[in-house]
Amino acid sequence: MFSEFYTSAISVTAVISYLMAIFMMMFLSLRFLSWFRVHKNLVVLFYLLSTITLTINAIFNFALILTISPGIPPLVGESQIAGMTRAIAAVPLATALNYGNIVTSILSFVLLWVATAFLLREYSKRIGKMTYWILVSIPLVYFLSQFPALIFNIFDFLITSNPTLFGIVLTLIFNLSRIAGGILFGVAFWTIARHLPNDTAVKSYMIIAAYGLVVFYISNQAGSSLFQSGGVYPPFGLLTIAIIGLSSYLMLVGIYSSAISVSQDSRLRRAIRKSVQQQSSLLDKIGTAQMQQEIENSVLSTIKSQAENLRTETGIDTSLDEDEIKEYMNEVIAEILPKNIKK
Amino acid sequence: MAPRILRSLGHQYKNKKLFAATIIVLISVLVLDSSLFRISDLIRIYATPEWTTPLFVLMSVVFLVGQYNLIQFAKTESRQIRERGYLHLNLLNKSVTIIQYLLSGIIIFVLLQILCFQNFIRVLLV
Repeated sequence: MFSEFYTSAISVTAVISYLMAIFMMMFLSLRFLSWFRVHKNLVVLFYLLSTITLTINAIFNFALILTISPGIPPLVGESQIAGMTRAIAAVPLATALNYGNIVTSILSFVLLWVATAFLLREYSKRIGKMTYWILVSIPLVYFLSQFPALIFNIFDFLITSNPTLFGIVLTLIFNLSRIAGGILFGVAFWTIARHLPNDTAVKSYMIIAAYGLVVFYISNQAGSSLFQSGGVYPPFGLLTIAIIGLSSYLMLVGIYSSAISVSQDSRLRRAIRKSVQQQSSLLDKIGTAQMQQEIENSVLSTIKSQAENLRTETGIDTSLDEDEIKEYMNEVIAEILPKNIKK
Repeated sequence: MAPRILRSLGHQYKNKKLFAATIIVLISVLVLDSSLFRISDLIRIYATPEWTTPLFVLMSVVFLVGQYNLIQFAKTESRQIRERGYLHLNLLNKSVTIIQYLLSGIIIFVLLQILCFQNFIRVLLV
């Protein structure tokens, strides 16, 4: 008789965590979309695309977990040697979902890398273009190198010479590639925080977002692979999977709160614009876009209540519909905004 | 006693450097956890419960404390924004806190299951 635990605990944790992550990332994508509609900026665009692919990746992971978790033995103990990899190969849907998961995982990494490289490109002036691109490219090359290595069996001669040792070394090396990426993505937000005035809340929000990104990239790698490898005793990977939802919440709160704070603090907006740091432009764009949306909403609700008053007092309906009001408002904002930005 | 210890740990975020250290420890635990899970098949013959179970218990305790700190940090730092009622951030924060405590409960349940089973077997063998 051996010590055991119920694997349903892992399934429930994974399902809750991924549902939370999907919800948060979807919200964040919608926010980036609304900011991008106001300010067509490359950095905002790449952050939008990367959050969309991260949402799709979380959906694939979630679907994969739902598909393969019923095949897991209900109890896993010290003596258990389970082979869920066979279960994945046996279910065509799981194989398709697994491909989707891998493709979106690579795509989201690359898109987030592009966004980060754009965000930090100011540093190329300080340390030189060559040095900058070499430094920034290391996590991307490190991450992408595992795929040709696995497809073309580059390390076969090492693995055949000592399967266990080199199996462990290579798995650990490639496992750390996502972490290296996560740290680079987090550093981008951390550098924004570093250049902000100390007394502003935005500094803390950017740090929250940075922590969120780093933890998200570490935790997202467990995902469905926890189920593919079958039951592990003790359940290593359970802790990693339990924090995916929280990390995506930190990203949402960090980025969204920053945008709100910047939109409401003209002193901060001026400080950001005066800053020569290119990375602060992300904050400026999302903050200004947020401000513009708030103005629109506020003006629209005022116009609606005025129109309602007019109708009750005179019985005459306003000739402008909501789209026309928005169009007119955008023209006014376009006239006013550049003047304010120059200030 | 336990809530007081948790509260004092939770207030570490007032000291930013100490909080950063807590997060680094949490991240290290997550890296170790994911790495051990990845190589679990390869080290199966070396992974005896004598060292893997205490390691898992230790990692879980550090994780629970670190996660609690992270939630408290986000809650304190986002207070201003949450009070303004944007995107129902307040409701979102409460929901996330409840869900994370639920997940912590599941982890504690698994820990108890592993530890109680082990003690039960030990008693049976004696």
